[in-house]
This record gives sequence, C-alpha cells and structure tokens, in this order.
Amino acid sequence: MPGRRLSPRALVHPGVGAGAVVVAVLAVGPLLLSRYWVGFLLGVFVMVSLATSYDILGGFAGYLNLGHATFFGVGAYAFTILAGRDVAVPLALIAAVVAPVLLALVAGPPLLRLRGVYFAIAAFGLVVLFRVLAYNFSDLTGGAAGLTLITAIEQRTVYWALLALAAAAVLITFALTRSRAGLALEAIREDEEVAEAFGVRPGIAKLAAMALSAAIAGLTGALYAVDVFFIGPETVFGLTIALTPIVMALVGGSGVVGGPLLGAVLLFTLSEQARALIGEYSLLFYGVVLTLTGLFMPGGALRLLRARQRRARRRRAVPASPVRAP
Amino acid sequence: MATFVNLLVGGLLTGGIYALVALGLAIVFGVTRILNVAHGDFVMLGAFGAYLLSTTFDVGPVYAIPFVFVVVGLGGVLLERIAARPFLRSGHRELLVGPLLVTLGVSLVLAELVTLRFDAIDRSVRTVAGAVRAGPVAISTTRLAALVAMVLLTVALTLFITRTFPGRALRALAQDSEGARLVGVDVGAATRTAFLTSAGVAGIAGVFYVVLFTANPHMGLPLTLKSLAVIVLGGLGSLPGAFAAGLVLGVLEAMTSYYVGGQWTGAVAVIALIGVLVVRPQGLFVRG
Repeated sequence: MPGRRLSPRALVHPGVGAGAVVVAVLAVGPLLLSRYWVGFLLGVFVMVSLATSYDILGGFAGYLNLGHATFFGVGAYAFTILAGRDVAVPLALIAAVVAPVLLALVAGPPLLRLRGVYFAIAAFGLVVLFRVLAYNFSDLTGGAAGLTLITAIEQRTVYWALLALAAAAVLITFALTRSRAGLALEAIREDEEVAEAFGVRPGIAKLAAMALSAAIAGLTGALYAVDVFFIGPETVFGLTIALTPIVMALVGGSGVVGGPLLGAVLLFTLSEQARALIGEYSLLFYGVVLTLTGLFMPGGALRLLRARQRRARRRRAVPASPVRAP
Repeated sequence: MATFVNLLVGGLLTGGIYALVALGLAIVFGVTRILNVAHGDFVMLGAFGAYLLSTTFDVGPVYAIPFVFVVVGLGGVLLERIAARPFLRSGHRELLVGPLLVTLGVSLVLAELVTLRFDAIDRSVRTVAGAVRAGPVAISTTRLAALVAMVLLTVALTLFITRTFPGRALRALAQDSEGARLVGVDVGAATRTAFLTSAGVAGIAGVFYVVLFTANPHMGLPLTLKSLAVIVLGGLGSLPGAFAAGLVLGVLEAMTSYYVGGQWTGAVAVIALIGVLVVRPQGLFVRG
C-alpha cells in the first residue's frame, strides 16, 4: 500500500517471511560450509548490498548514479585508514558511514541539478576524481600501492555482518515501496515537475535517497576491506567495481524490490563460475551482457518475468472466445 | 615564454580534439536524446585504424583520414541500428536506460576486442617532421599541420550543419522534433546522418590523437566523460559553446600538467564540471 506512513505493519508480507527464512538458513553457513563457499557467499553479499543501495537512487528515483562506487570506496578508505591507525573498530565503522554520507551531502546538490544521462556521466566523474585523489594523496592512501588492512576480525563475523547488511538493504527498498518516501521517489522518476506540483520536494527527496544509498555503500566498503585485507585505487574506484553492481541491478530489474538481489546473485554466480573458463575476458562478458540486456529487457529480468506471469494469468482468465470488455 | 607557447599549442591541440569529439556527441544527443557512451571508443577505433594502416600497410596518417572517416562512420551507422532505432519510440525511462546499457556494453566490447588484438599498450604513429621557428618558439610541423587540419574540419562541420539540408534537418530535430516532423524531416535518415557524421569525425579525431599523443584501447570511456564535461561547460545544446569549452579544457589540462603536476590532469575535467555546475549551471559561454 503506497501512500501510507511507514509503520511496522507495512512490513508484514509473505516475501519478508520467506526472506527471513533464507537469511536464517544462510546465517548457519560459516558453521557448515568450506572456506571457499563462505568467501563466495561473502562476495554475493557485497554485490547484493551494493546493487541494492545503488537502486535506492538509481532505480526508485530514476537517477542513474554511475558514481555509486565512490561511496563504497570512500567508506573502504575511511575505515582502512582509521583502523590502520589503531582507531577502535566501531568508531572506524561509524566513520565509514559518516564520510560517504557527508560526501553525498556536499556533491549531491550540484550533481542532482542534472538529469538523465548528464547526471549519470557527471556522477561517473566522481569516481574518476576520487581515483585520482587516491593515487595522489599517497601519505594517506598509500597511492598506487594501496593499503593493507590487518584486523583481528574473524571471517565469520564479517560474513554475518555483510549478510545482515545485505538483508537490511533489501528490506529498506521493500519498506520504501510501502511508504510515502518511496512513493515520492517513484513520482520523481516518472515526472519531476508533476511530483513537485503534488507537494514532493524533489531536492530533499533526491538528496536523502543519495545519502541513504551512500551510507549502505560506505559500510559495505568497510566490511569488504576487512574481508579482502587490501584496498587500492583500482579495486575500490576502478571501472569494474563502478559498473558491476549497476549492471547487476539493471539486469535483475532496477526499481523493483528484489531486482538488484536477483541480478547480483545471477551475475556473480555466473561470472565466478565463468572466470575459470574465460578468465581475462570478464569485461568482454559484461559488455555483451549489457548490450543484450539493453536490447531485449531494458526493464530487467524481474519485470520481464512479472509481465509474462501477468499475461499468462490473463490468458487463463479469459475464455477461448474472448468477450470484449466494454 | 617558449615553454608557455608550447604549452598553449599543446593545449589547443588536445582541446581541438576534445572539441571535435564533443561536437559529435552533442549532435547525436541533440537529435536523438541519446548519450552515446561508446562515442569515445570511435576515437579509439580511429586511432588504432591509423596505427594499423601505418604499421601494416605503410599508409601515412594523411591518407588514413578518409579511410577512417568512412569505416568508423559506418560503425556509427551500425551502432544506430542497435542502440538508437529500437528505442526511439519508447517512453523516456527506456530511452534513458536502453541506449545507455547498449552503448556502454558496446564500449566495453570494443575496448576489450582491441586489447585482444593490440594489447593494452600505448601506441603512436610517428611522423618525420621539421619545425617552424618564430624567435625563441619552435613548433613541429606535425603539430601545425594537425592544428590546420582541425580548423578545416571544424569549418567543414559547421558549414555542413548550417548550410546543407541534411545538416539543417539535424538542427531542426534538436530544436523541436515535433515541428521538424511536421515540415517533413525524415527522422530515420537524420538519425543515421547524425551517427555517421559524429562517428566519422570522432574517427578522424582519433587519427590526430594517435599522431600527436599515444592511444590505448581503454581511452574511450574517459574521452566520453571529458566530452560530456565539455558539453556541460559550454552550455547544454550550444555547439559553439561546446567548441570553445573543448579548447579551454585542453589548455587548462596542459597548464595543470606543467604547473601543478602531470598526475592531476585526469581530475581537471571533473573538477571543472562540478565547479561549473555549482557556479554557473547554464554553462560558461551562454548568456543568462
């Protein structure tokens, strides 16, 4: 029910129950699975929270934020720099949320003046800018060599934290579809002027969406850094990490709850399994997937699936000799 | 003084390339409302085309220009077939996402395919040339020739857009697509013309690029980004503004690399872009 203020009751839905069961099953993972599969699932969680957090601004508000990885990278660097200077882990985690949110609040207003493709590419400029900054402020960032992070945090702790974060991200997008805030974002996506005429304040709504997606991405970046021990300009501000989560969201279904989740699980599994076969061709693979998605399902897999279900249901409902509706 | 003049000339050369690339991007965007993310990769294709011609067939860059224009231009027409035509009748959301996905995908595929053939190494075509001296300042004839060629190409492009029927059709569509349709502009033909011209010109810019600097397979996406910065700097929809902004960006980058440090050149376009958005969102060269 869109239009309602968000109440706990709005989250009662069979999908949420099913999701909770899946999360509970996954939570047992580190106790049973081999190190490889725990690592694999960690990768899935990173991509799910990145793709889902991207989608808050990119899918629901329709502002294709090609610079989403900036928030991920800033979170990762903030955490790694502070943790490397013996700042307590909880404080460093807070910094990994605050720093990207501040960045969103500073860079958001000028960028969000742009629309459509201009916003998309200008936002992509932000990643480019931060990659240059990461290379050049080498006292702080270690330059091209990057930073190594050694913490006493166990892999299973990171696993549970990332699982919780990914689940929270998906739950937030679900809550958005059932709240005024989410409705405001979708109204902006459909027609910003009309939305404004109906009392939505687009500037504030867009900025809030950007800040929220930045917070989740920043925290993901920090946990990612703990998991992989090493960050560098190319690993957190590079082309691959900038494009992959967005491709996942678009392939799965951008602006649909669960779309980015589906895309992330599908593409991450596919590319991990394909890496053994195609190795260095993974960017080529992404290019082909992107082109085909754009051509045959620009709305994403989930939308295509839903449309097909709807059509099938209608066919079943209508008798063999169709009676024209008045 | 000599350093400054050389910096200025170098900046104008880079800026001339930016301007040519940005004009092509702006033409396609004006006519179709599609941002061709693979536009920078046409420059890359032109550069590697000239490299291939010069290393394998011993064809010099001057003779490579018409060849590159035709081949890369036809590449543009092919791209129009898969990235523009399927989406031109769809709603604004699909018109945004569909072509962006397809052109981004094509951009990655082109960059990777060229990497497979040529490796991710910087390549260049060297020409034997003397230098023209004026007092303490010496400028290589290659650079001067490229500068003259760029001016000629810009003049030709401007004449095409302002004085010929297909060119005027492009401008009409960019200003008011409904009105243009009403007076009988063939939208399909105009879209193909826009892609052909913009890709062809980008290809020629690539020939200049590989002669003056070095080209590598992954130069496309950053160039597209810079062209977008140039378009926003010049004022959306203003072709002369985009041209001037291209020159300004080139000179700014050259000055930055000398006076601030070469590692900062990559940030100039982005900082200029964000700065203009904050201070003068209507663009540098637009009154109002």
